[in-house]
Amino acid sequence: MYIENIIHPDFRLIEEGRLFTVDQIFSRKIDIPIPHGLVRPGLTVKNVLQSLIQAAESDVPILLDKGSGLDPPIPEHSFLIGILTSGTTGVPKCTWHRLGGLMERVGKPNPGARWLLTYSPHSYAGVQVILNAAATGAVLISCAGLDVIALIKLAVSLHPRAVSATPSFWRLLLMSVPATEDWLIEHIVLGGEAVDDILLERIKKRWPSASVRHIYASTEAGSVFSVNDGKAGFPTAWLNSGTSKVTLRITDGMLYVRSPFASLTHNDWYATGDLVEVKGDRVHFRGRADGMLNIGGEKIDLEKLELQLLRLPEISDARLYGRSNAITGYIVEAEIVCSNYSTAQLHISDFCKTLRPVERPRRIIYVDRISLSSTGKKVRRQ
Amino acid sequence: MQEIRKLIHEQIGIILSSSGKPAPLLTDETEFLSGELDIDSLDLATLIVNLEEISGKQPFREGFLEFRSIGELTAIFSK
Repeated sequence: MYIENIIHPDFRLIEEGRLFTVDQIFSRKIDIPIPHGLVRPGLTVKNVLQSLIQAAESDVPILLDKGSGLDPPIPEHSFLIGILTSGTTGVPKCTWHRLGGLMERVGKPNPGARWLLTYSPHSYAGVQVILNAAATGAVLISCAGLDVIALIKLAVSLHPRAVSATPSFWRLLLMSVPATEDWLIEHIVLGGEAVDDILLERIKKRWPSASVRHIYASTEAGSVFSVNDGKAGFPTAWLNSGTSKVTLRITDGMLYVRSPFASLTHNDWYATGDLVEVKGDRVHFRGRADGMLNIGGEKIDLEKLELQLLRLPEISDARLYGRSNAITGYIVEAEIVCSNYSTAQLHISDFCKTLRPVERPRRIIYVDRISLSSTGKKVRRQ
Repeated sequence: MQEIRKLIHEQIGIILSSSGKPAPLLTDETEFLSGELDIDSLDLATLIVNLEEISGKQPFREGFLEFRSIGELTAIFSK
């Protein structure tokens, strides 16, 4: 598969307010250090696309990395696309993908579509949106480095007809855009976090004529499946029949997938780490086996943070958990057992300043004893 | 309703001051996420959770009720 063959001639990129045609994207050459062959493009979609084109022409691997400092081993010297897992803070892992695998979920040509890119161009989700827009001849609108509120303001000013974003982004969009705003969206795609039925209903109410689908994907397993029946979770029937060339199974409450389009070392049965529950004809997602919380696509290691809290003076026990809410899905809350309340408060406050905003416990409840589940474990969702 | 409004103003004040931000004049027309208030969605989620805990009400239990301003949220929690 040649990358120049997959980019539709009608594709247009609007980036940082400037319009680029396919010819303009193809015309600039990026220097690729051969024979090392690893390229790290800058933050923009244009840079990512130009680097992909150049790497494909030179038949070398390309790592999409905005500065992790990672120097991963390269599996083979031919055109492969390296995408880093999002993970939590700590060393991300590199997954290698063939272009064919990444292209498998691309839609039919649709030159009228205008897509807004809400993901980082280096992420798996970002690459999927970019390749989809490029291959279908759509217009792709991108503005790197904008925070979510600014991105929503951009969306409101440009009225893209197609948006792929996390459920958290969609919740924020629904809250920020008045129902009276005359903005027709034709394609609504959700991904990166579990979707809930309430959000899907709100979206359907706001944009009743839009096609809505939510995608289950990971950097390792690729784009596993897409659900477009308007409900959260996925049909139980898929555990027997598979879907879109992917087979699924549940073992010990965890979802395993086998996809021919996964990254190089993950195309056999892959433990997704996602806990699921079968309820009649529907399989529902029930959080992560490793207790990680996902807020807006950012992963939070509650147990790791809790261990750090437990090392603070005066804190004898602690429980960090996700408190569900309709705005962000979850916020982090903490139950604390301490001997000296005011000293503990000071230490916790200093500790929280070192955390990412999404990790910071938003409510701290001082208790005599940590609440445990009936099996004696710390509950991670409430 | 006035009690709920006062509670919302108080909670917004606490959220803003805990991150060292000034609290502007709050009215029923003040919108949460338009940029008028220097809060993000996590702050708003915290506000809602605190309101639920303090008021004992859970107006979003049956399904989300759309709101954008202090006035609209006051009405939701006053039902």
